[in-house]
Amino acid sequence: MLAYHFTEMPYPFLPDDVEERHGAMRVTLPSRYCDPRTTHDLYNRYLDEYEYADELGLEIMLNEHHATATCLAANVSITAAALVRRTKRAKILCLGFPLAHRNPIQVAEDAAMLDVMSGGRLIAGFVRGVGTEIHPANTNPSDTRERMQEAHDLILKAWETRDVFNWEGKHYHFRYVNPWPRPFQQPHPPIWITGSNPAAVPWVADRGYTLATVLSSYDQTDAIFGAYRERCREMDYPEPGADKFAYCALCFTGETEEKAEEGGRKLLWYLNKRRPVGFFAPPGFVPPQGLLRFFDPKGNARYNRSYESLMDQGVIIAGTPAKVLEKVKYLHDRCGVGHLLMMNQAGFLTSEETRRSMELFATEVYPEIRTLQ
Amino acid sequence: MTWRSETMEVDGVNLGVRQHGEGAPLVILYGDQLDTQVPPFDDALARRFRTVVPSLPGVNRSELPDWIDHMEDLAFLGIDLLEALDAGPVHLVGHGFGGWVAAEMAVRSQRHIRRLVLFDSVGVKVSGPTVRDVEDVYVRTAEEVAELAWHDPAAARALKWPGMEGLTEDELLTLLRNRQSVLKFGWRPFMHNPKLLRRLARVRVPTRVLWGASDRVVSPSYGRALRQGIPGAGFTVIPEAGHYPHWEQPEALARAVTEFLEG
Repeated sequence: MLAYHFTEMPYPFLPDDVEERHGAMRVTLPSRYCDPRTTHDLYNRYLDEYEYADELGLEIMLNEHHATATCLAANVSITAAALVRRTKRAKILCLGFPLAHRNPIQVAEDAAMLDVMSGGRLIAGFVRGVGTEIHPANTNPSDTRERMQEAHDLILKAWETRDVFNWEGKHYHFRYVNPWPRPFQQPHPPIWITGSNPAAVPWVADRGYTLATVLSSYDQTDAIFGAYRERCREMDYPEPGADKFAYCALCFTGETEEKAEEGGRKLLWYLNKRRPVGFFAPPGFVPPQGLLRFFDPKGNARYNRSYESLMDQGVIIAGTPAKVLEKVKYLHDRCGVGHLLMMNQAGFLTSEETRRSMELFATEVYPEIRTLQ
Repeated sequence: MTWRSETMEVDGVNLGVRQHGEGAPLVILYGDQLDTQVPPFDDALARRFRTVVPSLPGVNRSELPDWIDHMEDLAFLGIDLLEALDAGPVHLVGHGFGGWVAAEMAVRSQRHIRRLVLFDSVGVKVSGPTVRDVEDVYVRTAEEVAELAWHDPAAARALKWPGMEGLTEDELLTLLRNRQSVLKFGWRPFMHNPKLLRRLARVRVPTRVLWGASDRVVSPSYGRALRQGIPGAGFTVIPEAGHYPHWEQPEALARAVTEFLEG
């Protein structure tokens, strides 16, 4: 099993009432709350932690979001570019390039440049983007999947065809597709896809890509990975190995149970944020049936589950090294996961705390799970 | 009043249609409202006109096939619907998103249109880039929408809206599908076609634009700019009404519309 260090590079230093005043932490939180000097320090701190992950023998996962204090990484290619020359060995997983929102030729070029510069360390994650990405990009929520799939087809063809070609599809039009450079890994870097809806999984399984869940519970993950395995059986593909399954959780390893819980609870900052339904699930992004509970006049769209229940569901993996080892083994055995994507930092978790947790994991837990197949 | 619900096939698409009344044919186009809630304005018109209210593709009982993915498709389908009614030129009335569809139909063909009425309609861009001409009601709560869209927010309960109390699951599902369908065509540019204002000069049939005085979803000044684009069109303000005068002041609206159509 491989483990990846991940942070969304949050900007947590906000007045207490901003959510109340602006309705949410995403989309409508004005950038006047973002101090450039503080941000400079934060970027460098988070990038240092990524470099430390490389030294510790961990892999690296990067992402991007827009118009939000939860994630200062507004372009996954830029973060990756800042790291390719400062890291030596780690795989750099970009999870991902937001295919429904970006010029696919630019993605093909960015990813190929990163792959070549890093000597073939890139993993190209392709994502549709979560609902709150819709308004910043202002792309039509009803055709995001269609756009993502067409962009994927175009990028793959651009990587595999060593010649100029024409693309006149439904959403994308290029008469001279010919991105330079070609990727370092031939014919192209490994491709990963994130999944939260079992119905979208057969498309991933048909292409043999690695499927990642992000902050999903064990039960949700069982359903999503189950759909992958089911598709393989149905289509007579070889049985997918652990390499095809990745699982992202909030992670903290502490010397004692008390310290582990303290760290784990700090990571919750990320989850307990107000989420107006119009922004996180714009009409067309999710089928109406999936929206019913958010329009219950007595309901509350805030994602507010207890620390204990999130631990039970595997959304948070926190504990002493022995406890974390036990939990990761359980995850491996239950869900068949070959890649553990560790959101080791969120909210106010300090650099010292983050590094200590990474160290403990890398030295006391990781050696025991490296060999899990 | 008893409306007759039917299914009508136009260009291979099954559309839900309700009809009532006798007299000169009149078609009303609405946006994403529930068809099971008949606005009192429709009842008033049905007393004088053969009133036909189709639901747009993807709205209420109407199908939304994959090939319909642009406002142009709605406009041509709408024109073909008027032809399929085989009733000669009809009075065409449009509200909100339905008003936009009616205007897009009219700039393409007026062969089947006798007179055109637009009230509290969207479809054009009239202000600069930083001004949101059409309020984004879809990110608002039901309470906020009541404040924006009604002269008297306490009256907003009359019109069912996602997030309100007292909706059945079926009603909520239908409303969510309706808004999803409408936004498929109106997402970007938001609720308008940048070409439409200029094209409105092609409208030659007598036209009346009416507006709720308290509409804060699309303001009366937006309505005046829309009217300016249509040669010879008149403008009528409906007092004590917001974005839904067909609910808030149905008699006053019906009177003004009838006077225009029969005058």
